[in-house]
Parts: sequence; C-alpha cells; structure tokens
Amino acid sequence: MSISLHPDTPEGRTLAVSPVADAAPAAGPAPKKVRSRLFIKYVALFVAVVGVALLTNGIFEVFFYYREHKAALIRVQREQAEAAAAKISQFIKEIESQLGWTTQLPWSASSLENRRFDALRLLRLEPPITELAQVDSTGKERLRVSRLAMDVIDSGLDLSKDPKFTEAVAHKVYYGPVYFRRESEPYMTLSLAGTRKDAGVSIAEVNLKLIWDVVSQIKVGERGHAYVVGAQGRLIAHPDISLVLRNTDMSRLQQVQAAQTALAAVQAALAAQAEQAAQAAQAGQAGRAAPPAQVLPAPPAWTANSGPDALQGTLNIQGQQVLTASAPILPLGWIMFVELPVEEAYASLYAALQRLAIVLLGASMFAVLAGIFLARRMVGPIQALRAGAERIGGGDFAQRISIETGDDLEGLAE
Amino acid sequence: MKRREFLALLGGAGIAASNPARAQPAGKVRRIGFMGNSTETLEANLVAPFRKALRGLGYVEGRDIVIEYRWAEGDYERFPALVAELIAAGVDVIVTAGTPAAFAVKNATNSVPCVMVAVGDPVGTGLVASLARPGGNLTGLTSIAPDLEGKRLALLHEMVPAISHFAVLWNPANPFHVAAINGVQAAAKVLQMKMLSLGVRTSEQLDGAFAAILAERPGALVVLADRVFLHGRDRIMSFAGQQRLPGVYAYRELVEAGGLMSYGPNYAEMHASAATYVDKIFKGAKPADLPIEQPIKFELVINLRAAKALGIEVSPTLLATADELME
Repeated sequence: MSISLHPDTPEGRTLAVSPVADAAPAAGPAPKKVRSRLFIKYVALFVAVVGVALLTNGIFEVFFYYREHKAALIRVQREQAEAAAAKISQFIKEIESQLGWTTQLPWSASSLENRRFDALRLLRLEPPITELAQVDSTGKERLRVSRLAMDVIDSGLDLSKDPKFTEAVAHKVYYGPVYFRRESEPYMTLSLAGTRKDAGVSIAEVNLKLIWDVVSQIKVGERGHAYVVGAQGRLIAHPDISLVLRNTDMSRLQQVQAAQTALAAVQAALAAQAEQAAQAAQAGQAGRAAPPAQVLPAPPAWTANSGPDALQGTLNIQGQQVLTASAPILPLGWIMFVELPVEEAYASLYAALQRLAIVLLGASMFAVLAGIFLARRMVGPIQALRAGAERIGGGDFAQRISIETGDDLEGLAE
Repeated sequence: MKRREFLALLGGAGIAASNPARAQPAGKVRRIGFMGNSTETLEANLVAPFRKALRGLGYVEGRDIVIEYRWAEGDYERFPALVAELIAAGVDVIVTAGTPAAFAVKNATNSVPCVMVAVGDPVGTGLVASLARPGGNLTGLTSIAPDLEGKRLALLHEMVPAISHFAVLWNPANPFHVAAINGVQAAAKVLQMKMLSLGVRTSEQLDGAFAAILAERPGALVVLADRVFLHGRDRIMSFAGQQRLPGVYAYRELVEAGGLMSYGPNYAEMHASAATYVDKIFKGAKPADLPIEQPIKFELVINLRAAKALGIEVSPTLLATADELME
C-alpha cells in the first residue's frame, strides 16, 4: 500500500522494487478483496441465521393458525345453518298446527258458518296463509276463504284425485312443490288431514315470502349469506330475491349436489325407520308378534360441509369461491345453505402473512445493521493484523501472505 | 440515493394504504324527485314513512339526498309538465304512485329510473314486461291484485246484505280501472247486485257523480283505488255521510275521513318499502332487474262510529276478521 502512494521511486531500486511494485499492487487489492469477502460473509451469515429462524417460526404459526381459523369458521357456519333450518321448520310446523284446529270436527257436526268463522280467524292469525280450502271426506270442496278473492261456499269442486287431497289422506300431511304466482311470488300448498277419517282435509296456500325474511336476516361474517334450495335443486329463498324469482336451478353447484346426496341418504334412513315402526304397529294391531326388528343404521351424519382441509372453496351461483355449510329442513326435503366468501376466510390469513412479512422485513434490516456492526468489530482486528504483518513482512511477500491468511493467530503471537 | 427512493416509496405506500376505501364518493348529493298525485298536506301520511325509511337506511336529507317535490293536486293533466320539470332538475330517481303518474314518467323518459310506489296492474296495463323482471326503467310495488275489487264488494255484501244497488266511482283516465271496473261488474253479477258506474276524471267531475247518485238513489258506494279520490276524500265522505251511504273503499284514508270500511294493502308500508328500492338504485342496481313486490298483508278497516251512524250492526265475524276497528 505504501509503495503505491510513491510513484517517483528512484530508478536504482527499480529492479528490486519492480517485483515489489508488481507484487504490491497485486497484494494491494488482494487484502481489500479478502477483507470485503470476509466482511460480507459474516454479515450474510448473521442475517441468514436470524432470517431462517424467524421464517420457520412464522410459517409454522401461519399454517396452523389458518387451519384452525378456517375450522372455526365452518363450525360457526354449520351452527347457523342448523339454527336457520330449525327456524324454517318451525315456521311450517306452526302453520301445520294452526291448520290442525280446522280439521278437528267432522263435517256433519259443524255448520258451514262456524267453519267459515274459524277459517277467517285462521287467516287473521297466520298472515302467510293466503287461501284456505276445506274439503270433506269425499274430496268435494265445501268452503274456500281467501285474502284476495271472494269466499266461495260449496263450490262443488272435486279434488278426490288431486294429490293435495289424496296425499294428505294417505300420509296425514302433504307438502306441495314450491310454485310461483304471477311468476313472482313463492307459494306452497300444505294440506292436513283431520284426526278422524270423516273430518276431511284442510288445504292452505302458504305464501313463502316470509321465509325470505328469515333467510335475509341471517348474518354470516361480513359478506356471507344464507339460502334455501328445494326439491330438484330449485332456489326457494335467497337474500337476492331476483335470483329466486328467476327460478334459478342450483343443482349444477358442487356443494348443492353433495347436500342433495346427503339429504337423500338421511331421508332413506328415516323412511326405513318409519316403515319398520309402521309394520310393528300394524302387527301390534293385528295381534301378531312384531317382525324381528332389524338394526337399522341411524340417519347418517350430515357431511355436506366444506372441510377445514379444503384450501379452495367451491363456486357459488354468482361465480365466487365460497366455504359452505348446510343443514336439512326435514320433512319438507329442503336444504339450508350458509356460505362465506373464501376471501373473507383468507382475509385473516393475508393479515397474518402481512404481519409476518413486516416482521421479517424489520428483523432482516435490523439483522443487517447489527451484522455490519458486529462483523466490523470482528473483521477490524484482522485488518490491523494483516496490515501490521505486511509492514513487518517487507520484501518476502509471497510466502508471508500465504502464512498470514492461514494463520492469523500465529501472526498475532508474532 | 437508492435508499432514499426506497424509503420514499415505502412512505408513499403507507399513506395510500391508510386511506379507508369509501363506497360512495363523499359529498355526492343524490336527487330524488317525488311526484305526488294530490297535495303535500293530503299525502303527508304517505311521504312521512318514505322519508323515515330513507333515514333508517342511512341517508341524511341535505347531506346525502335532496327530495324535490311536485304536486299534481288531483289533476292528472299536469303530470307530463311535472315530470319534465323533475327531469330538467336532474333528479337521479323519480318516485311516484298511481298508474297515470307512472305512464307519464314512462312516456317522458326511458333512462331515468322510476320507483312506482303503488300501481294496480303493471303487467296488464303495459307498464312493465313482467313482475319478476320489469325491463325498462320502471320498477316498484304493485298495490292491488285484480281480484281485490270482487273481495271488496263481497265484504260490503257481508256487511249490509240488503243492498242490491250500488254506485261505483272510478277514473276512466286510469288505465288500470278499465280492467278493474269489469272485475266489479263480474262480482256484482255473482252477488246479484246492480251497479251504477260513475266515471270521474277530476275532482270537478265529482259534482256530476253526486248528482247522479242523488237521482238514482243506490244503497251503497264503492270507490276504486285512484289518487283522485284520495285527493277529494273529504268531499266524498261528507257526501256519503249526508246521504247515509255505506260503502267499501280501497284506501283507509277514506275510512279515517268517515267512510264505513276499506280493504287493501297498507300504503304507508309500501311507501316505506319504496325507500329500499331507491337505496338499491343508488347502489347501482338497474330498475330492469329489480322485481316488483306484491303486498302480502291486506287490512280490513272498519269505522264503528260510521257503522253506528248508519244504523248498521257489524256481524261478529266481521268484527273478528277486521284488522283495525276505528271508534
């Protein structure tokens, strides 16, 4: 280094100096390169150690946090679906039980005017019932009261072949398919047969718009919502009423298909149980011994929910990725769905990732600064050692350098 | 230098990220044009629920919305001029009620959204393509199912079975009434009653109708749903009271003014529901895609004082069925 600072070297010493001059510039940058390599090595090592430790910790935490968070979300959704399904089931059951009051007495016992009074009172009590018809045991319509049309007495309409009548007589209660009046209002026919055979059947036309209120009031996270799908995958209720009015068919959605399969399994199991119970009852009535009770499988657990392992959601009717939970509404055979956009489930994940990135960035900057500081302290003495060794070394550079790089401690001792 | 640029970038990104995203540009005031059929005082009980519902949805008058009012004062000829005024004032949505008013808007514009608060038969009269998907720029709520006229007449018959001849006030200028009056005629035939048809286009023509009633002496009065009759309700009800005419009406306001009974949807609630439509339109929905709502509840309102004055004994069935009994 000292030689490179004195360009006007006397020529007498050129011969001796030139190898030195040749070696010195070579040795000049060499210490510099060695120094910066070592320095950078230390800094890099320091940063790498800190970085790897933080990164590993962060990734582990984020991964497990995400899985648990998602599982919790789906659990909440499932509970919401079950609660909402229970509410709708309750709504229908209440109408059924009120309707039951109108089928208590046989037709001969009660005058038409009394029946009309009861029917009108029922309309007053149950806003969803728009029309109520009473049919006697032969299937002839005797009375019809309506909110919209004139009341009709003894119309003579023969409903003996109509499923509204026949199904109710056979199974006590009949839930008709959802239909739309004037292409814009959802209705369902609900018929109830009397407790006695001669009581006839009461047929109510139930406006399902109030179910929409139940569905649209369900709060799922920030942007999730609930909806109801009926038989054949037809959308019955949705916060976006226009989708329902357009008779949207939901059965092409993956989650709907899964739920429909699950519902079919549950209904089959329940039907088998009911069949067995009926057989036993019949046998009991006839005085025979009951047939050996097969051990029927219990209705399968409802599995049509997004699993916590699923990283992707499924597509919903609007094309968004969603996590879905569902619950059956028996015995109507409807399915309640509760869905949450995957982005919202991911939102907390992204927040956690963001935090991790910020922490990593901050920590690595700190590590760089600390590394520079510490490395300088470590490398500094080595620089001084080398400089001293060079001064001492004088002319015999080649050998001295090699010794030096391999042997700083010995140099220090010297 | 590089470090400085990087720090500046970080700082800028931080500031940009900290600005909360806003759904509506702050300070944009939306204009609502409310075209009333009658006058401000006579329709106050309908405008109030509308404004209240808007407040409930978070719109503050003066800050987020401004409502421009125009009143036809019972004269439907003024609608085209009023609609033109509202459009010239640059309203973002027009809110109005009644079929004639809705037609005035439809004829004047097919781009400004319109919320019809109460129209009798939007599909039958040709205002919209269908209830589920109206198409066009009109949407809103429908008030009267075509069958309600028969129901009303049946209620009247139940209240006063002795009546065999009744007068009906209807508005030939209202496209819906042409179908409605046929419904009344059909119901009258079923109930074996004679109908005296009195077409009234404006409040001035009421005198002619009253004269006809005095001449023919029907036993009851039926008033169909048209805002002209809402506008002139005090005159009509005082005349009915003087002549001791029982009647059934479409609007509860007529019962409040002294009429006997009414059967129909709750118009105040429909005005409140209209606010939801306005809100959806402001948030970007197109009227063509917003389905038209039908009422679920229909109210039977009976004025017991009027019944007593007319010497009518209200049957227990009707008393039990009524939704509201006025003393």
